[in-house]
Amino acid sequence: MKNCFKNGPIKPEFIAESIAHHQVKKNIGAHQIFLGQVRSDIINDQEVVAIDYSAHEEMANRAFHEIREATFKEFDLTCMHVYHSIGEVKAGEICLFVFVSSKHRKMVQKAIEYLVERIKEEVPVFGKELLEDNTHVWKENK
Amino acid sequence: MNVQVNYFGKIAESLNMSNEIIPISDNLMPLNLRNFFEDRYPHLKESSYKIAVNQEFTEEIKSNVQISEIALLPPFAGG
Repeated sequence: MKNCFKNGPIKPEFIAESIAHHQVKKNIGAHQIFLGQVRSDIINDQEVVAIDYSAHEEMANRAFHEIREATFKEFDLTCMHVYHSIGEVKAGEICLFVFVSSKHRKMVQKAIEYLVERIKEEVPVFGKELLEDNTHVWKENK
Repeated sequence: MNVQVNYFGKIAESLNMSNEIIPISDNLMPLNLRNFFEDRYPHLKESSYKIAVNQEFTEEIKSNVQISEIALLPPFAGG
């Protein structure tokens, strides 16, 4: 099964390279990208400086796989890529990169929403929000 | 049988361990896992978590099932 995790933040250069790789696929007319970024919320008067991500990696990769399969079935896509961070990601850095491509824009716009919502709800990833005073709280998706 | 139990995130932190092996006797079957873990660790009653057996969400195990893993998964925070 494909490993969707990357250690640490997802680098902007990696995202740029992914886009570049698709320039040979000339049947694509629309890309849609979602980037999740670590937000520096204020919790108990303390700023979030980073999130330390952990996961049940095997289950998570299986969930990513199932969600990808379902998305391909539901939408007419040319390709799809999903990467999530594991380990520490500082505020302002990217922790989720979802990239879908198709012939037309409507398809990718719908697909990305479907994908991101399912990822947030179904993938066993856990986030420890590290605060500036060295305490932490556990993040929960709403 | 001896069962590998893995704890994650906030649950692992509250138990101060990320895994353990728990003997589960056949005569306990069918076993409600939530009750089983909350009897063993009463503070879990205050926690929110999902239970997965062999990577499938469930609340119960029946006899004659080969268990390679039980996982306690706190609320997800991906993305």
